[in-house]
Amino acid sequence: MRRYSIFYFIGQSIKGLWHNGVMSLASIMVLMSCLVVMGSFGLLVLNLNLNLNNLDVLNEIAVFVDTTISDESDEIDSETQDNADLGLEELPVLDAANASASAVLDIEQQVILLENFTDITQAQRTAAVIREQLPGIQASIDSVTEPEERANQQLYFNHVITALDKVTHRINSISALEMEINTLPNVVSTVFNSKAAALETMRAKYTDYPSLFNNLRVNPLKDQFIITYNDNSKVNTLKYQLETMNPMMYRVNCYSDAARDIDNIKQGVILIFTWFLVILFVVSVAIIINTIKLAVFARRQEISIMRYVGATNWFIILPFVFEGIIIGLMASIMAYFFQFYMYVYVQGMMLETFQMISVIMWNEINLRVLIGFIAVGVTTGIIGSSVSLRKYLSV
Amino acid sequence: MIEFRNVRKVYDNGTVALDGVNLKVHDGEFVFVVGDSGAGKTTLMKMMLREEKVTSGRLTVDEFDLVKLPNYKVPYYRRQIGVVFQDFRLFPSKTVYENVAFAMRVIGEPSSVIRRRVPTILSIVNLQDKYKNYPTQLSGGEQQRVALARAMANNPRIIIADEPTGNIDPHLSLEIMNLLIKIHKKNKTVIVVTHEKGLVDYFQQRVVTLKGGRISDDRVGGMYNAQV
Repeated sequence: MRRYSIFYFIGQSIKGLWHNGVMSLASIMVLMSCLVVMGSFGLLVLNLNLNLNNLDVLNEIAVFVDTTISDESDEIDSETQDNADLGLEELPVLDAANASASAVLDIEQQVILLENFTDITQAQRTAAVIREQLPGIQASIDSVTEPEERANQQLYFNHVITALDKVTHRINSISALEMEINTLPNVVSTVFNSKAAALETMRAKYTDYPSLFNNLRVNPLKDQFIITYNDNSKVNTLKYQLETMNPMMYRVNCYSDAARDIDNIKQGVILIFTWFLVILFVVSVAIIINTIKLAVFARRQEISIMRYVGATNWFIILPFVFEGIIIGLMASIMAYFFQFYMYVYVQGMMLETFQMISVIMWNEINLRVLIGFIAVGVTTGIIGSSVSLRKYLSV
Repeated sequence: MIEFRNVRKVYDNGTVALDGVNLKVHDGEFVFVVGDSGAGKTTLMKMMLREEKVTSGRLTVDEFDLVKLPNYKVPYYRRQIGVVFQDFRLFPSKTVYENVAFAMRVIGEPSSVIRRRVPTILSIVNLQDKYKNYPTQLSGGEQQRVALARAMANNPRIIIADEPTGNIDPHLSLEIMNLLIKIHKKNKTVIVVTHEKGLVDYFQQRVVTLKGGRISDDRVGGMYNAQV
């Protein structure tokens, strides 16, 4: 087998392009336009996706926790009990001048403060500190000589201890729950939001209605976990796992519907994009086919002579395939620069007009755009030229 | 050797172009194929070039069985045959030299071989002085001589000429025919399709007459209107 010179084929194809100058130029231009439209649409989708991904704050579940709920008692019972425990009316009035009585009142203040905790670990530490003081206070109560006064103090003190036990239980339950939630699959992070903090937030939000909050003796809100998760498609599993984890999980709120909507939008955009791409690709191929057909037609006599003197099909095809490749290559390089100026211009405009929108920087994607253009351009060139030559390949 | 055995050709539209054709052309023979329009001359030629396939029967050219020859081998088969057409089919944008060299380049001859061989061939057809000219600067007879040179470029064993003198002034036809005889004397098989009575009668070679797709006469030293 003799070897043919590649330069012969390239030379022939350049000659061919030159012969059909206007048509070659036209097809380069049209292919370039197709590529730019494809590229613009692709970049639009990329940026849209980026902005939709930024909306992933919606990948959150809020869980409300009520630690007074246990397997035995239901929610309403615990709430009434809650109120009863915290109702201080029945308690005797202590004389703050008395040393032990003042210590009891002081520890009560500490417990009340602890109930408004916002940080779990810090609360655990504070609870331990309070607990260390208890034996000393008990001893000083015991040393009170007057029986009635001692009984009053003891009653009051017992009440404070009960309240402390309850808040300790709450802290420990929440800590345990947090650890358990973090072991679930699909969970990225957990943020604890105490009911005291939630009340503060509300108070700050509704400053026009201070009376709403001033008359509250008990915080009616619930402790809350904000759980961030990864995969929207598995959100229902996670929700179920949270709901069945522990009866203390008072309510599980998730925005899975909104998240699903956004996911659907993304899917829709990608679907439309794919179809658009396919159509543009077909159009580009059709244009190349047309050009090469003209080139082939112009040289049909040459081709017939080639066949009579025994040229192989490859020898006849290659110049036209190279022609297609050159058209594709030139179109893609032109399209790249066109796309670059267009993108930077639109990017500047977008950033100026909408501060909220984030835009991918050109240098993050330029290589992908260039490779994509060349790949599509050259593929169209090869397909276009091969298809238009098929007829001439029959012997 | 070219051998047609009971060859029948029916085109897609139902036209029977050849029917029951039996023909043997030995190596180094000179054959005129004559007949009226529609007698099947062109079909016969196209079949030898494997441009058309046999509908039934057998057709062999040397070691090639044209009935079984796969498409991809056709180019290699055609390199055994040189073809000359009535309308020359030269490239107007190429010089005489390039036109001849093209046939060699197509089959991948190295440039060194092309440079050596083209002048030799051009001298056979007496065009060695006009190798720089373009076809439009040549007379019809000269153009046909370029075509002949191209047909011989790859040293084929068989030359097929389709009405080689059809587009040439009558007084130059003889020159072309003499060239074909000269080529024939270099031990090549030459088949000339023509309906120029004078030439056929003058050269007294084997004449195959086609009529209605059948061979009606085949004799050596025959005349154009042998039957009549």
